[in-house]
Amino acid sequence: MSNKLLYLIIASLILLLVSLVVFSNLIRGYLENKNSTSVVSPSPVPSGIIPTAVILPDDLVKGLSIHNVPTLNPTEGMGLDLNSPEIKNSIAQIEKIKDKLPYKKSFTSTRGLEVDVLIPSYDILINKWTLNVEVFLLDYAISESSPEYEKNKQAFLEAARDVFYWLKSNGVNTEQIIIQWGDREFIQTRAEEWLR
Amino acid sequence: MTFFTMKRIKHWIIIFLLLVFVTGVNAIETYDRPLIDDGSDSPGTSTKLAEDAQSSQETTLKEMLEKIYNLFSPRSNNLKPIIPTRSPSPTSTVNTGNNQNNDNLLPTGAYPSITYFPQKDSTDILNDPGLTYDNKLVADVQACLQNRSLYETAERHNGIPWVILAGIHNTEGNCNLNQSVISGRKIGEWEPDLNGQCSTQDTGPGKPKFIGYTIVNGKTVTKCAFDNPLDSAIYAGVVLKRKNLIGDGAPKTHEELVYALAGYNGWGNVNCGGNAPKYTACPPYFKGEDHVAPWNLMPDNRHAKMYKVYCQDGIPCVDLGLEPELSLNMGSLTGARIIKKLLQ
Repeated sequence: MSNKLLYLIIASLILLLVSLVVFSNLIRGYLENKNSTSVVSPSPVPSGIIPTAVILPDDLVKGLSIHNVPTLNPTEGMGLDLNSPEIKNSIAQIEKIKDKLPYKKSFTSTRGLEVDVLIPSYDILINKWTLNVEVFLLDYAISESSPEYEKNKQAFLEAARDVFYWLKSNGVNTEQIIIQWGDREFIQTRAEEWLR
Repeated sequence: MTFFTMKRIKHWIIIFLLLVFVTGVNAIETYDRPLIDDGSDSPGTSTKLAEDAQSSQETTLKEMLEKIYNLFSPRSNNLKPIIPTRSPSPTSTVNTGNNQNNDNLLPTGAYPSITYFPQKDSTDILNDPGLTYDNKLVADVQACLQNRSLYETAERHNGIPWVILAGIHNTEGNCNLNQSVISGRKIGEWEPDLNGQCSTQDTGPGKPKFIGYTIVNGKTVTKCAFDNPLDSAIYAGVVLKRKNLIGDGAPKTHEELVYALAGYNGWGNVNCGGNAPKYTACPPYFKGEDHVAPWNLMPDNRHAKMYKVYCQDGIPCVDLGLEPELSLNMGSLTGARIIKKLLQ
């Protein structure tokens, strides 16, 4: 074997070694990044539902709005009819989870926003037929033209999905429960718009 | 033997190196590929199968990559990939109740700990470090002191210290008894925030009153209001309790209080995160520490000048190409601290 060939083989082996070390570092960096990325917290997920999809499955998004509740006949009084089936059904659904409240969850949305979810204790709900659901740290007043709009909307939907899964997993019929998202009008309006 | 001539060996070595490179790049690219929704309306078996397959593929690939890495890492026996941990911040009390999902509160990554801004006296949730307030601010809260008995009555109903209720009323309505504590709207006028939650069948302290119906987007909406400031103060305190994610109910620590006050106003008004470029005290020490509604005009080196994030409803100033304006409205925590100091 000529010296030239020997040098070539040695050089090639060095190159191979360097390549492997670089490759190894690439993998290490990748694994560390992958493992330090927060994901949506693992709540009970019914089988057949896509854990990463942002769109809420149709059969889950049926939380009633208070605006669907019938109002009293003027001869009986004014405002919400608390004897209506909608109110009675919602009370029954909330009764199923009253001992499991408060419900809390913090997670980072798939697009990087921090989100806190809170369903307060039963005794501080606005009333016994409405489930308050608070999704904190998001900007509900954001304009649709803002580059952050979609991030906020998606984070809210991920939070809502988590809430609906939790309700479902506790036997709540989400078609019958009245949910109020937040306490400010602009939050309630934007949340219901995003859920539509 | 011409197969192993020097020229061919050179070619084989180059091909081998290329193969190593291409395989590596391909492995990384495949591992990084996100799950893709199949686009079907009803998530079903095909999606589940695809997801399972991908999950299995990722697990295998991850194990393979880890093994390769371990082969060449000098500390391969000790080094594990970093797995993020989330822990409650040091001073907060987490009430887990019966709920097993409460173990991941307050991600700490983006926020330094409240230990940078500690609560010295566990009974003082206002956590006033002994600031001196200028005469203008002191004069502005005098009206709140005159309403003390009203806030104290509300405190007996909702458990929120009256100075905090006064601080909120000062921010929302200058402690004017013609304005509600909850939002500062005129007493007796429609409060859209109440979301139509009123009925003549549901009455009592802190309950809103029915005042009429209106049509919004083709739907009949019930209009509710408060007909006296006390009911609005009782209601406002309960709303504040619903914003306490860190604890449960009435805030028991400074951190809980600040979080709840920020949530009471809405989280769009935090000053960090690009909302108010001229606000310099970023990042916040803890969640809500950069929120204008509790903190504004606090005479310390972080909150004396804070900014209104929104110049119009739903339109942040930065979206209009405008600089966010300095807010002149006293923060609720600022007001509460001054009131408490005046009592001492």
